[in-house]
Amino acid sequence: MYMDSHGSGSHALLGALLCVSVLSSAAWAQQDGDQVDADQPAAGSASGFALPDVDTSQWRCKFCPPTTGWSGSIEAGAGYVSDDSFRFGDYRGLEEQGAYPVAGGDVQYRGDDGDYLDLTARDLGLDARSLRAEGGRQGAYRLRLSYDGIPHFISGDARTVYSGAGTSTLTLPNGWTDASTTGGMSQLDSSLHDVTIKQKRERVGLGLDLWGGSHWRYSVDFRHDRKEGKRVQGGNFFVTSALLPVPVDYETDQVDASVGYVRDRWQVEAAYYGSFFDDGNQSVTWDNPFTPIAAGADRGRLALPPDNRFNQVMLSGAWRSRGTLAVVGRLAYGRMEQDEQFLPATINSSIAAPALPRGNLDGRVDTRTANVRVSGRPLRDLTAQGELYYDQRDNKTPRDAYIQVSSDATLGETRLNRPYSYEKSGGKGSVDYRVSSRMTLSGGAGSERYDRTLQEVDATRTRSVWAEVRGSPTDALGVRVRQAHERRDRLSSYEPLDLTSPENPRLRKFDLANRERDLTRVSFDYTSFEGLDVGVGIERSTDDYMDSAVGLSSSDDMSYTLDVSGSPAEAVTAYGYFSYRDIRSDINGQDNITDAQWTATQMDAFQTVGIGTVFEEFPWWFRKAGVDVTYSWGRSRIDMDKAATVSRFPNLETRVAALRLFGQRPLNKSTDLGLDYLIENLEEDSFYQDGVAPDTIPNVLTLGRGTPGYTVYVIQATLRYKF
Amino acid sequence: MRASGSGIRAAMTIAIIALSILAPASAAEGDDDGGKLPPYTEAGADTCLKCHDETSRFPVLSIFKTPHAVMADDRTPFAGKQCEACHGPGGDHAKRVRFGKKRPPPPAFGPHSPWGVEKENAVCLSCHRQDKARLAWHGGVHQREGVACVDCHRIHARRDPVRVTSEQPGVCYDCHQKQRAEMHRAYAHPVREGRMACSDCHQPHGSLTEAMLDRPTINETCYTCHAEKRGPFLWEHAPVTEDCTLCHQPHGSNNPALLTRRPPFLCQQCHSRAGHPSIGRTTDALPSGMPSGFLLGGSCTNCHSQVHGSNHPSGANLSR
Repeated sequence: MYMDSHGSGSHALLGALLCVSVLSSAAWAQQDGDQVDADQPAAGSASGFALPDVDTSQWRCKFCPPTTGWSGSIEAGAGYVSDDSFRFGDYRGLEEQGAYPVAGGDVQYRGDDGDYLDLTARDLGLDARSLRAEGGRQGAYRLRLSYDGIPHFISGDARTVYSGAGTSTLTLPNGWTDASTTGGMSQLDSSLHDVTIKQKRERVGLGLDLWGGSHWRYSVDFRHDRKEGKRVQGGNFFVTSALLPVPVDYETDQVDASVGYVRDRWQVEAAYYGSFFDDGNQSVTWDNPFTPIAAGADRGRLALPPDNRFNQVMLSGAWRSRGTLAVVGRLAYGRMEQDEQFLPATINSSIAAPALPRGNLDGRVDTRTANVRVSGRPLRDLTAQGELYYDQRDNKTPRDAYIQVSSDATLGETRLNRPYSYEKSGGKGSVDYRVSSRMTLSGGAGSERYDRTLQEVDATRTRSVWAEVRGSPTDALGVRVRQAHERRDRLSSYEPLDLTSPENPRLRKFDLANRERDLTRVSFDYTSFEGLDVGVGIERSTDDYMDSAVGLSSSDDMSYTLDVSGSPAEAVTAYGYFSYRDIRSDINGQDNITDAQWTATQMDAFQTVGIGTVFEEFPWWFRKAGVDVTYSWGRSRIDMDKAATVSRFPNLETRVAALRLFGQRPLNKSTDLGLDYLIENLEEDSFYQDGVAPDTIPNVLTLGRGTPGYTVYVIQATLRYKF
Repeated sequence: MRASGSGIRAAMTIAIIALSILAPASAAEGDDDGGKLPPYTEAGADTCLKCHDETSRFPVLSIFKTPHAVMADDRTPFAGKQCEACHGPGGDHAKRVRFGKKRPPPPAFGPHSPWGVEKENAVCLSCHRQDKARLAWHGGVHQREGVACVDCHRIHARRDPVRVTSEQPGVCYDCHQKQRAEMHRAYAHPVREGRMACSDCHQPHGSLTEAMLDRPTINETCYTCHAEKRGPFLWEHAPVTEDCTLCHQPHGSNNPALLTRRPPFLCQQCHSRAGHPSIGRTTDALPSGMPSGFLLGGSCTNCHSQVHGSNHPSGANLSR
């Protein structure tokens, strides 16, 4: 399956070639006049920089501190967490009330002949620990080792009736009595037990870099990820479902290897990337807690992510002229493969499982990307750039007919799988003209064609144009104004897919629909010579899906940012920031294609505030101290306008406030005492979970999770020994 | 509603206003390249360290704990012109200054140094341009925007903050305030907790991929940690194969799983088949009314839980 590039791709190519020829001719013409002056470094030269030589034989560096030997710091201490909180401990590893050890360090060794060793360790007493070790001989080789632990706590108040949570087999308690609704499940309350939904990711890395003489470089990196725990996934039998604690047992091995050859003005690199994913569980089976709707439909089986692999080779290169012309390009070819043995079409022994057209998917997707960028300065005050790109997903997975068994209950229709492919190609160019040292005018344009298979639209074209003014009316003030416009049009008609239950013919999927997008951005930056920096940004972006009578129809995004930092006094730094963002979007719909029309309007608002200060020479007890306060608030408000009635859902809201105080006090020349205090409060409201007990929804057995909320404080004392 | 006409008018209006503000200040001025080079110091670093010692207002001695000061590596500054390899010849800066006169700054990397960003970057690139990370620097967004190497890097620091996972985001937030706000939202990647850095996904030194991502495509970047989503699957969900950001906001969201919005509204942007997918859910479906699994809990994903694709032969509707 191949798709040809058409008009817009040719235009983009022509534009880029024109840009290249202009840049090249100007660059060549410029070469003679742009030789490196012996007394003047070649500023703006893409090829580098050269200071005149000087005799340094008498420069003894006798006042230079020693650079060899061991140095660094080691820290140890203890901390205390005031309360249990899964949410507070997420990614931090501080989910349990009580004391915890603190251990870490930053140690390095440097030898006389360039040998070195760097060791860093952080949070060794927690699951969220990290270790880094790097050593070698500077300029010759480098070996890297790393370990990271990332705990992810999702829910600490979930409850389930299933045994075997986190394994591939979930069973109901002995004597469970089915019911048609959750309210009728007589053993529900007595069977519910706590289940923690959490995962832990551990990553181990090993890398080696070699420099072969002055021109060759070699690099190889291995990473092994292991992620295990549980996640929540719904399992259904037609219109009844149960939220299940399914296992996560993932291992991913990745390899990055490259060989590079570098010269003064050009370099090339050949690289390989491999990713190999292994899932310890092929599926999860679960008992149906509801009354089976068909014989044998008392157990279901979900497929879990299949093992897969990805191999990719890349070739990259860059070339720089003696002037300002620079060309960089990359070609990448990859292959995704997946051939895990299929599960049977059903686990229901009362149904003769339909024959499968094949034993495994034999899935294969070839990916091809190509990018080239040319940039340069054809005139002293004019820089220009052109870029071409190509991205193809060529899905070679076989297409076959599969007889469906719906919900492990009944034989259903025959479906053909859809191995989606796409081809994206385009180009863009931009110019920057420096009117003066205080003002630059910029502009650019781009065009992209996107071809797809097996979807409602075969091809779309997106064109964009933008203009920007950057200026400095005074030495301290910078102003930037940008306006961009983008339009996406279908190049083919919108053809709804042939489905048993049809889509609304007026639906336009937002990623395929015609769209106009406008962006306006204004920013001011003020920097005083006293060190005060103030930044203000205002941005508005609107999306209009002009022809989408059903589906996402519009979006309006407005944001404001204010950033202030400075030194109000000697050895004191202070900062503050504020941002507010407001997003309104409308989704149109219609019940059952011809019944009541409706519009769901979602209004998102976000606000983030932070202030802080650091005293490098604190006047009392501590030598260094500081405070940091942040507050983040987010609210989603959804109005459903239907049948002349507007119903407003309860707000989806989160509020996080944190205060951190820290101080360091020297105990002697080598040892510091560090004290840290953090208090954090989080509140969340979500109608999706608030008041939703396991038996609230008649046809869905949930885990009864509530929305998280906590106020937790942490105190930590650390002794740091420096050497 | 056609926005292109109003968009163009807005652009013209803004341009006219901007030009009228900026034009009076746009008198041509000379380039700030500092003119002819001053002479070198007599003794190199020994000259500089007479003033820039451990009591200096600008701490510099930590550089001797960094790779830049490894004299056994003849590529480093301190194996050659020492401080002046980067700061430029410092003869004028180091010599005696007449009473009442200001001390001239070194040519580069000083508070009032005359060299501009491009020339200072050329200093760094004279050694570091051949690193593979900087292969796409020229023409990249940061280079075109005039970002200086020292805007992000602290050369004199024993541990450059931008190269420390927990400290790097703070450096990026100096310019990327919008992303800072997003990272503080309720659901985000573990950047705020210090477990991930911006460079885990982005290549700040320049990239040929959109948004300066490290891998050739958005999805390939995501798959480096979320390989279970790669597939290919027997039953694919088309937007998943194209672009994860069609449904997810990787910098942070108010919604679990970093979704841009929650189901059913997320799904009803693209699905309106006759039957339950097309029904506009109202507050009647809340626990206070007739609680509905089409809205509450996981909403659509209570049943259609294989949103990223399914390899089950009977998983065509992403529920097996």
